[in-house]
Amino acid sequence: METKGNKVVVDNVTNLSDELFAVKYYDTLAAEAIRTLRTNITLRDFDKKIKVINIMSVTEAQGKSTIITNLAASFSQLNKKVLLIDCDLHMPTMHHKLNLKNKYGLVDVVSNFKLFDDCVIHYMSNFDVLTAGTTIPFISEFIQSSALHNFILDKREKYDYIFIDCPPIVPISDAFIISKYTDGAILVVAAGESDKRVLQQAKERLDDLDVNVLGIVLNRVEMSKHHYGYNYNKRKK
Amino acid sequence: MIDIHNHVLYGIDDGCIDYQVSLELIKQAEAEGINKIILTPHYLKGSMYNLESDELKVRFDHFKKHLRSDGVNIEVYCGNELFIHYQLDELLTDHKVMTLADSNYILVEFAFFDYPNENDEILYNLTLAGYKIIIAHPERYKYVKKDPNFCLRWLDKGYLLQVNQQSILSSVNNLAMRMIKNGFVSFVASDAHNYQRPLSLKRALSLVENVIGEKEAEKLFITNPQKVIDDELIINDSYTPIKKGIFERLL
Repeated sequence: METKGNKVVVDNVTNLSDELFAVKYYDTLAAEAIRTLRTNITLRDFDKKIKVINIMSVTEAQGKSTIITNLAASFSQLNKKVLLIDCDLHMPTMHHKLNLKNKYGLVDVVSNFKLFDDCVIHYMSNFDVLTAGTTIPFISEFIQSSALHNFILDKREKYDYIFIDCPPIVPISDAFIISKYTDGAILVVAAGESDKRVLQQAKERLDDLDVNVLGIVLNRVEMSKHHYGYNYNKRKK
Repeated sequence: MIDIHNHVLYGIDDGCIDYQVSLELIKQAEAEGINKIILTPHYLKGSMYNLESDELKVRFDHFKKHLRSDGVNIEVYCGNELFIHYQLDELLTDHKVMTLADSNYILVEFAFFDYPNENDEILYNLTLAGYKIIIAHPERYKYVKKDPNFCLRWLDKGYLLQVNQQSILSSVNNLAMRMIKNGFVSFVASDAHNYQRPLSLKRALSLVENVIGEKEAEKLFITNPQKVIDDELIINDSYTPIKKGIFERLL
């Protein structure tokens, strides 16, 4: 299913993975919420150009991989050249969301085992994806390596936007380190599922590390039937 | 009835050792009303169960001819019981191992004691490559015995489960039967190896009929196996998690 050269994996919307609702189901509230998020991010560009963005959550299963994948796709729809990277090496899920094979990816490129052009997947026009790649046991060292940092710096010049999926903050601190390589971070919190204290601690840690938190996405908010007739939405706080 | 899992093709794995044993098991099967079987010798890369398709086909054709000349009317098909391995999709693409009866269904088994997370990724890749997964005898795995809802990780992905007939006969409230009651199971097969583990389904069918009724039981023994042979899609979306019994909750 992957292709080399200029051919894309998906050239027809109907063949898109259902997970990419921001593109496939354009008229839904959820897609609209993603576009709102997109607009809010582009409006934050005053001091420094925001090109590289990572997403984090406090615990797993908060929806961050879904959000970052859709956000990246929606930016590519603005004819911006986008690269989406799965940096959740502990439990990579991006390739599942897009029905892709995860044979080689980020790990293989950064460790010079494979060339970037051999691993990157041209999922749609303007939308490239780099899956996590080979499983390695020394993930922390990899995340902290200058090789990874340099890789991101290098790709910064080649793309308009780079989106990076990270593992949850608890119990792994990879996301904090990756935030140092990016221009801004998005924190995803699933409504009603997170512990207030844990969130507080996470915020303090982010402040300490001087991470540029672009905003917080409140996910899985139940909208009352009275208002919209839908019961699934995302809102940017 | 149709049997989709057995080791009756002799001289390949830990199943029948020679033609005589095979013939007798198949004749018994025919007598009790089994009219189609898929022969599924083990394949485990790196082990002594490594007979590849080209040789397997030769032995299968020879076996089929021999059966016909001995008056056996059962329709026979060929396949493999594939032990999970990260190279399975390559082995299938290179036609070194077989799907079930030339369909897109593959019969996959796992280690009994341990379930590494890589298995899920391997199954995912096989699904991406277009194969439909049938998991062999999940009721025999330690991690399923410990928690039958372990199977939900497979069912939620659309993989189908096959239980062994002997597992159903084993005791009154056995695990296999509980799985059947909760809609986990799509196939019952013999996993026949020898006289002690024969090619038999009749008793199991009768027990299953008592529990879920004739119409539903027929699916597990006839309709679904036929769909495998015809390479038709089988969807199982009517399963429910198994509730723990009182004693299990106390543990």
